[in-house]
Amino acid sequence: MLEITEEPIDPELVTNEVRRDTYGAVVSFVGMVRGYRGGERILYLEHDAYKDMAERKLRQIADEIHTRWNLEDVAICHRIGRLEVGETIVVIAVGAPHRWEAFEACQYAIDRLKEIVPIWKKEVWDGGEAWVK
Amino acid sequence: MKIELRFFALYRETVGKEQIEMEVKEGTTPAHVWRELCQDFPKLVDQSDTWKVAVNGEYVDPDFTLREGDELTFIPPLSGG
Repeated sequence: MLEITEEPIDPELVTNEVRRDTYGAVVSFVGMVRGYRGGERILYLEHDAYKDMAERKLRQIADEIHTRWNLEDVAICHRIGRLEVGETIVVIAVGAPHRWEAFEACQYAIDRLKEIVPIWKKEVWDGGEAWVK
Repeated sequence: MKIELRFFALYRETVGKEQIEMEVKEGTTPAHVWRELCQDFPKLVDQSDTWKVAVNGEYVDPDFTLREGDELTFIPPLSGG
């Protein structure tokens, strides 16, 4: 599962994608909408994506993890559209024989996502809005 | 030759469109197209240091040589995750 979706994400469905009998660990990351920006209360977020390219870049991240850690089971699901405070934005799950490689690869995946995947978020607060840079 | 421009997020709002078809000369690069866009949409000038560029969904250098039918996208600063 490497996808951009407009539907709410169930983290358990994503982690289930990377479970195997030969694995001892699944490490997952759940990113969610923070209710504050400095001292300002956030009302909601709006996410935009260059969807075809974004899904290809998610595939690239999975391929990079395969090259670096020899892990094949990476699932990434990122939501777009309007998201309310507390809702899940992204879930990343990595399954591995041992925990250390799953931790490393999961951190790598979220760092790379922020670096190369064409997704943008706009914060909307009482009296203003701005695309996050 | 014709190319297709796609806009997202900040640039979509600045330009007011998701897509534009543009007639350009042979040998045109994304950097040339950006300068042309900045004339039509002066608010883009402030963004000139921050974009990356993709052609047909892959990152390329600003001096990449465009070809007929290419889909060109200027990528504003990313903020996924």
